[in-house]
Amino acid sequence: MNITVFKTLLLREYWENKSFVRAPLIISAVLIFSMIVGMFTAQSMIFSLGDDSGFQFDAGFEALSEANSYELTKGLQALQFGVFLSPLIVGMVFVLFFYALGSLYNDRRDRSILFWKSMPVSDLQTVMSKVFSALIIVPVLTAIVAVATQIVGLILMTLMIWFNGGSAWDLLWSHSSFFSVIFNYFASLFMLALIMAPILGWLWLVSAYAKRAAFLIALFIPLGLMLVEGMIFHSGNLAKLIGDHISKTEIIMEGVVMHGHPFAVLSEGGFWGGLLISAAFIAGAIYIRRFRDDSY
Amino acid sequence: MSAVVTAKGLRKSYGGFDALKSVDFTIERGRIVGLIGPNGAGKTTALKSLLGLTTFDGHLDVFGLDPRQDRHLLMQRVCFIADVAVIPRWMKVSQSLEFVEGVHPKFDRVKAERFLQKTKINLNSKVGHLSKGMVTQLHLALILAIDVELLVLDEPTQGLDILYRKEFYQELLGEFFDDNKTIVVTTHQVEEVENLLTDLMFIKDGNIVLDSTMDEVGERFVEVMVSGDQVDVARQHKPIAEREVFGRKVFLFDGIGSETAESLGDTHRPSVSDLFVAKMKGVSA
Repeated sequence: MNITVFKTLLLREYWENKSFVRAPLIISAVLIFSMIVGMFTAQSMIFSLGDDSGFQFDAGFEALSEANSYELTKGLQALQFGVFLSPLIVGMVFVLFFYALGSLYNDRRDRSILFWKSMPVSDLQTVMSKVFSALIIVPVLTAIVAVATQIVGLILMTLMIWFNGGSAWDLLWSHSSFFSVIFNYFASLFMLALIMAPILGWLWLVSAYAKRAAFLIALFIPLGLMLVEGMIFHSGNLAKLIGDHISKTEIIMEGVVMHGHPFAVLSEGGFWGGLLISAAFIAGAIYIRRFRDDSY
Repeated sequence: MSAVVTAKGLRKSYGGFDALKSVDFTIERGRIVGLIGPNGAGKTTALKSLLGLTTFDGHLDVFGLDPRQDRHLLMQRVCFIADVAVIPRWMKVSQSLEFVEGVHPKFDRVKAERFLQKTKINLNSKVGHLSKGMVTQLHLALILAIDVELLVLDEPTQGLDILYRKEFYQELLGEFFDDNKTIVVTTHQVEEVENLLTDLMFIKDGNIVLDSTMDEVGERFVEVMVSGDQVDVARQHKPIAEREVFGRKVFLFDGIGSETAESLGDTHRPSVSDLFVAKMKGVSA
């Protein structure tokens, strides 16, 4: 596969899908704004307590820095994952969902597929550029925004601690596990994208196939299958399979908080099964993209 | 001259409908071929087959490649404008240049930019903000800067105003075409391309009903304006079409020889559109 061509295809995905960067940036801006509002509210409460309330700030800080250092570290880590990462994860899930659903569908609707297909690019390359964007580019971009948000957040907390006369190093930075957290932002977002891969594969297949109403088809075929399964076999295996797979996100989040990495999920058979199913869906999407004859 | 495209027994059916009924044709290098037929005649199916956009039965060879298998290889030597304004609306003009430069080994960006300078198109504009005519100009700029050997144009000027249409074909001839290149064009506006074409191919109901060079067309077909007393004589020569202009009969003949034609009245070369109408009706009055 020609590297320049593939790089150009990735660039084209990035140009078209501004949400890759915009969505995490907007979420990040909201997070930072809420943090600032929260800090002002907290500070005004501190002021309103006054000097005669008996509340000893210095003593509070001292108690905190003398507290169990392990717990503080874990608590701060959980805070960073919970506050900075979780909303960005939710955002990424939405971005990937709508990206995959539209990426082989929108250009057929507006007929710009005729422009893409007039270029010496194989359908395999085209589809793989979309898969690479979803599984690598989007997690990396989201992680970069997460890191930037984390840095701004820590700086804001530093300012607040200083303002109240504490030591930001003792209370915050020495416990922040800064680099470990950054590593886990990248690692967990990447693993989450892989967990999502079978769903994305399904969306690409529908995206390549659907003549109209791709969203409804993507949603109602699985729901219909579940319904049929329930009526005929009185079982819910499909729903359980999907539910079990999605619940693997818990292993990832638990991993980053408890074990310092999200890779425990690699030992799950279901994880690899999901990737296989995803590959099958993607192969189907490439085939349909190649031979589908509604390009006019 | 060598064949660029060879089709033998090319067939395509959609369900029960035969869009192409086993057609044979060749397209030689250095020709400008007009593929002309009514809607639903199979023009687009033929072009789609040629470009690897659809499956088909039979044999079709484009530069020695099978378009079904090797579209992406073929597109290094073939390019097409399948419809107006299909450049993605979200793209910036500069991005479209960068994209084609990145994926097409035979793209000359300087040439495309030089062409765009002659237009009012701003490199920072979004394609979606350009007029339809300007999008076509942009597409033309991209295509003309790609050194391909075969260019396929399917209704390239549909819906454009006359200024853009004239310019489109002028640029195509001036900037793109030479002895080593081949153009296949379909259009409803036959008059526009009539003087460019070297070859004419009529297609009707999935069959090719005429396939000849323009020179042959000029020798074979003749239109004669016949004065009233000659009308019955003229009809004996089995005209393929008959119409009335200012009270005089005009007959279109297929292969009656110039002497016979001149004996009947004033002769002239039929326009492609008149020939087209005659061939499509299939009447012999």
